[in-house]
Amino acid sequence: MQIVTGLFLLILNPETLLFKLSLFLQIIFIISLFVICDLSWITSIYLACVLNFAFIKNNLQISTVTSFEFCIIIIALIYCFQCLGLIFTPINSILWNSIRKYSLCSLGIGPFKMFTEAHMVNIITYFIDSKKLKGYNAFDQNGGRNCSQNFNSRHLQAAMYPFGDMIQLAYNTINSKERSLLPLSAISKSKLHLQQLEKLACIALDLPIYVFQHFFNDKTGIYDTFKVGKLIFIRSNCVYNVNLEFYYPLKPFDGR
Amino acid sequence: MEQLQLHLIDVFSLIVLTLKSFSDLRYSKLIYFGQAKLLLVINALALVFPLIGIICFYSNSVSPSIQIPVFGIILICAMIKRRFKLYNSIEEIYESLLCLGLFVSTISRIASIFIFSIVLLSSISAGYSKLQSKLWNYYGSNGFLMFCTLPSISRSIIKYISVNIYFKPFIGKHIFFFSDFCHPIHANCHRTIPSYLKSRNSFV
Repeated sequence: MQIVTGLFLLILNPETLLFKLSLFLQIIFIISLFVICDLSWITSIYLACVLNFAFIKNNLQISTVTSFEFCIIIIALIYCFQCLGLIFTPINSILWNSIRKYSLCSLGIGPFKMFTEAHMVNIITYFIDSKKLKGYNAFDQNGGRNCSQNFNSRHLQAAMYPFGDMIQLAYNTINSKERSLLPLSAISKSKLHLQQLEKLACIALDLPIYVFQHFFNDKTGIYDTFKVGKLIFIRSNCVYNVNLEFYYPLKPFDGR
Repeated sequence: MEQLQLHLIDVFSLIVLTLKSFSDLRYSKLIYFGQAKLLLVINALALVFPLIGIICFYSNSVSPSIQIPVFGIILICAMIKRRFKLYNSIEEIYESLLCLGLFVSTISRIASIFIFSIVLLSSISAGYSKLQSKLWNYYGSNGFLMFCTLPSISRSIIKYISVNIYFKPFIGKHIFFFSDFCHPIHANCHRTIPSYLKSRNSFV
């Protein structure tokens, strides 16, 4: 539905029935995304863009193309190549490498992957055990979705990816259930992850954070959740360390 | 009438941008790196200028001489915010595209279509990546059911309803087949709902 209705909206004449049906289905798609998992601003901004696209296309009066419009078409084409990089990989590799250097203008557009293996297999979530940081907890005390995600940015929820990678690296490093003290920089996957985790550590300093892993169970059709460990961020000599212990063996987390 | 429709959509877009900026400001400690004071100013501008835009629409003073600087500042703020964000998610990309689209639409409506079409292309790209994923193809796993019951994002009520429907004979498999074109129909789809699903405490 996502692909077909999107293509119909792009290609078809706005006065055709199929275009109107595609617009209706896109709105249904957005509403169902909102109902299932909120996604707050993603669904709202997507809706705003689709409505803008459909209504402007509907009221379009074709005239001669000005130089400004020509420039915008060229920019849009570049974004297209960035966006469809998944399909046109050889072209993208050349374009992508040159464009990403100018990320302020390129808007960081790339091939989109939503709810594939990285987001749904053996995911790791966390819960900061503090009443003061209630608003900063994207997940509840059972590792599930917290109501703080409603009408909120995805940043809180997105922190689970660097966090999950850190937990997986730490588990691979110590490979035991014993309590260990590790420097945060040693168990961060990349420099960006380290920056993200330092921000989280700064907020949740000296507070217990419980770690959960979720495995999909084919027989029951739902995820089984296990409290796999506990950690505390500690700061000493301007360096963040992680004091962690595991209760339960981890399965590989795909992460991003 | 047509102009009114477009203005209403513009106002809706500006409201969304205002709320998003408010949310960004609230979690600025967690999401930005460097230049804290500059980002505070940028965030404040990103919060105020969409409001100015809404007031302009409300007071019916929608002329390009007002719209271009207002939307221009909103666009610049969105781009700077995105540059200093630690999490460059789809949300930030869409926000920048919406701001760019709104700015371009004040100058040329035709050109803005090309910008907004990128959002549709991104959706197609996301759909294509699902087709490539093992979870969402015919021989793979239960992509749509996994998505509906995903603990990190899915609402509790949706989890419960999804499993309930999925295990219903005849109805469930058809609904999931339509929801996810290539959803596999498992042999065990006629099982009853596990009792522990009804109790949230026993979930962990």
